[in-house]
Amino acid sequence: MLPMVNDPGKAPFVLRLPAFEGPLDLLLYLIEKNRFTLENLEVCPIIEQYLRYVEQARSLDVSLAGEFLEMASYLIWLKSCLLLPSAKGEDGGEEINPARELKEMLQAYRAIRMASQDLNTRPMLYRDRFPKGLPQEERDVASLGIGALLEAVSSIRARTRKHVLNVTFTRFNIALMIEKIQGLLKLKGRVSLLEVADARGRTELIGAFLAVLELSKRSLARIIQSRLFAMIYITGR
Amino acid sequence: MNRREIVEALIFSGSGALPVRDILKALPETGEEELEGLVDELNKLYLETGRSFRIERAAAGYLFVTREEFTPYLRALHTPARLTMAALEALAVIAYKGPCSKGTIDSIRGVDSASSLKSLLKHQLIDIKGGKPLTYYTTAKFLEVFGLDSLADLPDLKQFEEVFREESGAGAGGDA
Repeated sequence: MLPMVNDPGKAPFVLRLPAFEGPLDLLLYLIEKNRFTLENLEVCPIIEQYLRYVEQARSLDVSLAGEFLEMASYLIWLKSCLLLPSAKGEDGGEEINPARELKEMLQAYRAIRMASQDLNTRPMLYRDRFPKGLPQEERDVASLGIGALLEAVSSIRARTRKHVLNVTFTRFNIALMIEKIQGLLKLKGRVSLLEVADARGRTELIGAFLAVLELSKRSLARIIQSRLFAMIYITGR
Repeated sequence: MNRREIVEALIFSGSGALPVRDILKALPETGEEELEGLVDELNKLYLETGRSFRIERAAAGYLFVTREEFTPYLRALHTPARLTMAALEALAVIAYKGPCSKGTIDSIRGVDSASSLKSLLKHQLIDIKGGKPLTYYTTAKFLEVFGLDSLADLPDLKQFEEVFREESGAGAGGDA
């Protein structure tokens, strides 16, 4: 069940199935395929193959988990570190070694992957042999732990979640706005719409605009606008 | 009455692995080694008479399990448990590193383990310990399912790492 076939020569990079548990799984696969070990690993070709895989998967519209892309950006960073002149060596003090970091990550994951495969080969209850009595019978309340409790709580929460949207809503009293405009007109003779809606909130501006229209309708004010989208001015009649 | 048959009755009465200490409580004059001998005798008897089950030790106790040659028939009756490789990986991390947080599990596996943890919780193979980051640990049922007496029975994780170290041989020295 090889997920990919890739002849190291010039054969095209054939992608069969993204059957990897995650980016580390894919990296280990590439390392094994290139007959490297983690101890004598050449990082650059592996990085290139990894990036190619991710690119291929994306071009084929295979939806890759975000972790694959995250790893890709990490590997690009790592490669840039390797290409730049090494920062270590002065005073003999070792700086962070990103390639080693990657190796340690892969080592830890590989051990866990082996351990999980080892678990899987053990004769498992409910799979390879069965205990006395149905498993459901064991599910008495007392034996359930916090996990089951949290799960129950979250399912209740999901079921009873109220979809309430709190909208703060200010209503402008047009009559008050008209009074305000008339007051301003008495003082200045001519005001701009922005001066009327001095808080500049959208609703306030709309309120002011409606008030101006009302004043115009009642022939109490004149609206002046020199051209489209220009500032609107109000003058008294 | 025969001690051996009393032990049999006690284990038979248990649901899941019956803890050794519970058996010894019911049979005060019996020691742990003696109990082991009696279980061995019972198993020998079952084998000789062609029974379909045997007594196994797991989770510091004993339980009856069916012999593997009967599994095909049992699978027709009970849907066999299935764990994905992802869930098994998460389980292995918890078994070896637990109790540990989801962050630890995710960083070792390099992927998000939320759905795996959910499935493991559902199967009661792991549980949660409250705390600042919640931590996960394997349950007694985990030991039961995988036929382990305790977590100490798990093969050493270093052993797995060493398999590869031997393989690489000469390359053990320096970094490139």
